[in-house]
Amino acid sequence: MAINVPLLEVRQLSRTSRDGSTLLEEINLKIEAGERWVIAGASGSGKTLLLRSLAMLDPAEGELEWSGEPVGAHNITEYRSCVIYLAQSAAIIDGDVRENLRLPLSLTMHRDLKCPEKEVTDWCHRFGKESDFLNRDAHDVSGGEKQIVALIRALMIRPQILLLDEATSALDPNSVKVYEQIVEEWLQEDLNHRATIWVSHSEDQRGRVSDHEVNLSAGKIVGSAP
Amino acid sequence: MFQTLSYFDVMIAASLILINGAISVALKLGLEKKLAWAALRTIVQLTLIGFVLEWIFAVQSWPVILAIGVVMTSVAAFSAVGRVDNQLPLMKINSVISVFSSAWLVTAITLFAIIGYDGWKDYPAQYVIPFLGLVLGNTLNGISLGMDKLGDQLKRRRGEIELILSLGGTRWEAGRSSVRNAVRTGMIPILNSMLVVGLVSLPGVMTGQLLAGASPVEAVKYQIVIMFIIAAGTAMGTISVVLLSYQRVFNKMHQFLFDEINSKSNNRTS
Repeated sequence: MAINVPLLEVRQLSRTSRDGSTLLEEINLKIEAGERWVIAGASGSGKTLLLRSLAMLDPAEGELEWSGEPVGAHNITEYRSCVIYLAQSAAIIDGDVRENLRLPLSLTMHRDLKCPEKEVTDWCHRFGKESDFLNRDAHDVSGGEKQIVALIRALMIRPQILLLDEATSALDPNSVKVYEQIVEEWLQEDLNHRATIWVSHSEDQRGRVSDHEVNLSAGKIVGSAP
Repeated sequence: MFQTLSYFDVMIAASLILINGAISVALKLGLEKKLAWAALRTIVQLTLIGFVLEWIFAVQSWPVILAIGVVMTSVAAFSAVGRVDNQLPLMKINSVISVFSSAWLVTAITLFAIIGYDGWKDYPAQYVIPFLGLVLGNTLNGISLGMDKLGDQLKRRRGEIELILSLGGTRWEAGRSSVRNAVRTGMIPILNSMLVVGLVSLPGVMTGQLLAGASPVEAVKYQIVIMFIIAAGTAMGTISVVLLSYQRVFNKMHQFLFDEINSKSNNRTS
């Protein structure tokens, strides 16, 4: 990565609904490596839409650069394998937890990756999950456990940016702490190439996981700090 | 050998529908009006097509045959869309393209490569219209089932699809399970028919040929050809419509355009 190039930069990002109403309006953001951001705002202000748009999951107008390179059809899958969106309702596929964790390894983008068995077991243990957790039917695990699976699945593929959308909303306080610690350790491992962007309704959590805050209202940035 | 039917004979058959009506009334099924409407449409539609075919068979004109073929194909394409619950983008166009390409190609192969032009060049109407109709009738079922299943799968699997995309998967990796299930569903009726043909029922064409005095072995040969061309037309039409629809809901940026499937049911919030 070239010196002084932001890890992620969006310019004039806008999104409109099918009926023409504005959902996101001319968002400009610059995320540097090592930074911890949080997006705040009332329900319906556009936080989820902004995170999804940063992951380029939905069509939007504007420019997005990743390490100085414009993101387009030629590199979108590579971009998404490095900038991972973690939804509040963590999705699962049919099968057990292990199959869910291995899902990324079945994709062309990650076919050369090996499953980091030891790390997976270690992460599970830290959440108080024994090895039989991996054999449980994914449809039988709780909403909080799905959020744990989603985090481990994302970390397995060595991302650069995590877009965490209310990613701990279904977890108990102790698991939230472990979750935040694991994300922080992952960030500290490579501060020159990684960053986090959280969406959280908890003021306490926002204080713990971020150094930079951007406030949204009706799809517009109405303030940021510092 | 062929025994013609009088209008009185047809009336006896029509009276059998009254039994259905009586059952509907007795069990309060509420199907009497629908039965009466369906019976009336059967009579009117078949009578009309009878007169139309009489005329077409008399004139044996290629422009007329092709025009009728276009009308039949268009009706099949729009009927296929009408039965689908989940609205996919540009469904009608996808259906028209798929029905036209698959049914006409398969019918052309049948008439020119299998039967041979010399065998029917003096009676094109008697061959083109029935063969095209046979293929269309079955292709529209496959297309209809395939499109419906695809819409259903894409809606049900939204979380899984977006998960795969968000992990760096391609649009094909995200959509292929839904595509495969849709094609499989579209093919089920014809596969079932092929498995039981001759064991449970004698198909219409074979029955017609036997009634007209053809030898059973010759009728069977025709029926085998027909089963295969129907299967081919259904497979081609279903695959075509499912792949076209898949392309409409995933763009080149590997984004899943869920809102295009059913805008009313999709209210994403933040």
